Amino acid sequence: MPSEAEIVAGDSLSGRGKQIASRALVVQAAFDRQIRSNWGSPVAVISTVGVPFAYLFVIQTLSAGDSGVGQDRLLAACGIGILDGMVTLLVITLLGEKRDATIAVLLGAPFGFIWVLFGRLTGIAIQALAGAPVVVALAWLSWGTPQWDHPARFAIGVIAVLAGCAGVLGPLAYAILRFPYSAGMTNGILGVFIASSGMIAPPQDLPPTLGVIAQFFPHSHILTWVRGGAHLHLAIAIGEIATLLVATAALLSSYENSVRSKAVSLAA
Amino acid sequence: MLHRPVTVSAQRLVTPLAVSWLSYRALFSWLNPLGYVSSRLLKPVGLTLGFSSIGHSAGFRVDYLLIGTSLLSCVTAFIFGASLAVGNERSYGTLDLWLASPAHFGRDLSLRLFPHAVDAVVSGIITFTVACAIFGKFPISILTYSAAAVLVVAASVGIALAVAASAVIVKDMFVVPNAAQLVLMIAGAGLVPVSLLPPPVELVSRAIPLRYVIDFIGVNSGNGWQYSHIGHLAACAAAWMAIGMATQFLFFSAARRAMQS
Repeated sequence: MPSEAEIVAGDSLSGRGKQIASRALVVQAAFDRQIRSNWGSPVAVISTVGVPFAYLFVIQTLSAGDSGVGQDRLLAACGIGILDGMVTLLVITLLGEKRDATIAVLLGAPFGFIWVLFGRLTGIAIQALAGAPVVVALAWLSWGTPQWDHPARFAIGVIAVLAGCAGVLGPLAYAILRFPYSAGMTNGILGVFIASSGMIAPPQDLPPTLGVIAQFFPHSHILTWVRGGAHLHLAIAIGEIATLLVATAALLSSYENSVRSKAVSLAA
Repeated sequence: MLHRPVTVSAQRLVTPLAVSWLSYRALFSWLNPLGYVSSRLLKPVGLTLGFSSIGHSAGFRVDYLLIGTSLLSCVTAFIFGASLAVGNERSYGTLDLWLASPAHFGRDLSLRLFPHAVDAVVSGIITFTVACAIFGKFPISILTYSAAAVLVVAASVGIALAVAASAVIVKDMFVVPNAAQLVLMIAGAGLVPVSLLPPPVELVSRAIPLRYVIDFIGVNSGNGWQYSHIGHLAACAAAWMAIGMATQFLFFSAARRAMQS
């Protein structure tokens, strides 16, 4: 294992070479380290398929919807699965890195720690997304053909919701790495998200204060756009996601700097 | 010597409570504010607000969901606590020691579940109060809700015992309580009233005590306590108690025997 002092970015490569290698590192982190090592964990299956189906069942039954699930509800259910799956996988993955003391090794990655972590986040996102087609299939089997009013918007919506979840959870990745983990600390995230993201129930159906908070979640704008709203909503969502991802990169970078300067213990 | 009987009876009371407290304190790092607030307050309050908003959005009674979701959160808090009261022994590497000890598992498990039952009721009452305050309406009084929370947790002891015992056999302690939570969400009648459930799901709901508590406190009829449902509730709770005790006896004996061989 290299010591922290020996960790030096790959200086011998040209700028173009570094770019290619950093992308390869993201892909390797996503597919090898993340998906291969965590695929098929029962809790992940419950999170990504079971939980969203249960939500869909409740929403659909309460509104006495006998024919085809609306695409906005379908997207909201997939979003719940994505978020719940990502939270579970983030905790399992990053705590595993801390427990196995592999963060020092990751810091030795030639092009920086952030690329490895973004690779991990990408792998987690892909793994969480894997449940979405199963949720759609279950909805199809249970309530017939979904109501595809804007199929293209649904498809884009899935990607946007995925990116939105990665953005919202990015700071969580930082918190898990930076601070001592306490059991149960991530349990409330789903609750806060369901109550205030505007994804499951539109902002106008939330209590007034939560309706205002929902505007700061990209998900409320994505769902409004998928329901046929103006393109401005998608633009706002993209802006919010970009802000969240930049904030995540800044937080992870500050963590990396703190660790390199030995201001923070790797075992924190 | 005159004081001896008093001391002995006091000890009889204090020792089990100490066992309960020690298990809760030692196995649950979530007594730290961050974990506890996140698990026991943010999560249930968020879910109650979210589902009540879904009901509002779907044109369904928000009153029902404020009561039903917060009662559901009581049961799930109890079940998760029960599972971790055994499963965390494995996490901390002390399960084998516990299995090798001459402890009476039925008694030990009941004592371990007690703080979680109290915790679940307290969390349920806070959840109900906060969610109702945010929605600006209290469909039933906090006192009535508290009675319902105590009732639903008491009626779910058998389920909690069975789930806790399964943690001795199933390595991932989150699988069984998560699966149980899914069944409760779909068929427990806390989120979807029995009258709206599809027939096969309605059949499953007959085995869930929460359904009868909701009937008993009159959430459906809105006419106060419905004593005609007490028989169903008692029968369901007793059946689960028998299943829970049989499960814990079976699983703990099997685990103990596996250790000896």
